[in-house]
Amino acid sequence: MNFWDGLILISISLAGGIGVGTAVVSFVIVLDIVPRLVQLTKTHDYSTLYEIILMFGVLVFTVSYLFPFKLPLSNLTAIAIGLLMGIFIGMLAAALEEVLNVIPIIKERLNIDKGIFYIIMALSLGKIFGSLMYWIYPSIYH
Amino acid sequence: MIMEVCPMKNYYHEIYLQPKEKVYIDPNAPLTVEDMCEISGEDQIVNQIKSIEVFRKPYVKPIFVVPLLQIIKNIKNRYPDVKINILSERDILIEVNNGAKNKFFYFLKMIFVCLLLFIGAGTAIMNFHADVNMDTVQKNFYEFITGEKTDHPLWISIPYSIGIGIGMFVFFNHISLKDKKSNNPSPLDIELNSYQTTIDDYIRSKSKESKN
Repeated sequence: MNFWDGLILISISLAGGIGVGTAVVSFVIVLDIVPRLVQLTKTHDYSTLYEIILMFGVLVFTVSYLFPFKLPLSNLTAIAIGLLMGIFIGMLAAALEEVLNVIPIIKERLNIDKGIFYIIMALSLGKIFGSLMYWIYPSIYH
Repeated sequence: MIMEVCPMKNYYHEIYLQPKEKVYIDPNAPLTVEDMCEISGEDQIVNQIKSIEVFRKPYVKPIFVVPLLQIIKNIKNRYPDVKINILSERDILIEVNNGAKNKFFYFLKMIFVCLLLFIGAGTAIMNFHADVNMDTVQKNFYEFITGEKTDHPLWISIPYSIGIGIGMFVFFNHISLKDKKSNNPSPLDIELNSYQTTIDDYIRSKSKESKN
């Protein structure tokens, strides 16, 4: 493990990290998740803070994945964190649906005018039940 | 009623109006032409036209659209001889700032969004690493380069984490080499602005629809 090996390793993994970081963050941004949250909560002034929080979140969880450390928190905290994870993934999935124009296509092809609310509810409930079944019945993912 | 500015010249009294895109007003103040447009012309005519009121106090809706024809109508009612040139065709969006911001809820909402983004970004990156088997790749890569097997290839992991931070930081464009508040907006600012513009255009086009 000499100096040149170390230098090659450091430069290649630095480059890899830069690529991954840029890609993940731009994926989150292009799906309009943060602008939608800013519009809902009307907290436009804190947009710089949200950028910093995004960076911080990615860094902390990268480090925790590669060097696992343990935190003594309770089950209640796990419920809260799980809920937040679910909300974020739900927003990600909805943003992808938005980009692919799923609901406008349904509306146009099936000539549905007034039932859009029920269609969205059905999609969301379907996601909830699908996710529950995936985790609760282990035979599905083994 | 137009004051004779210079009796020798013989032209229409002419003004140029450039309507603003979006105006935030106080709920108690009346809405004048000056609030909504930039006016250019002779000083005396501009001073008279500036203070023509277009709307007044009880603002029914918090966001509404003022058609340009309404402004022209109000100006022509007072000064029928003025020639008006309008330099844009987009209607004006008015938003009424009613209600004081409830500071506690504002703070609470900010905290909620921060937590959501923190955990969410972490979830995204952890799922990505699990998907691509990043730890196996790094162990194999370390073995490939140096020939040693190890469970924690720190020589790769630490620069990789630093690289993720640098990549995000550079992407968000927070470094400004020359001046502090440079003109380069970060991609998040651009996205916020584009989203807001899409909403405004939607409101404008909805107000122009007429269902028969």
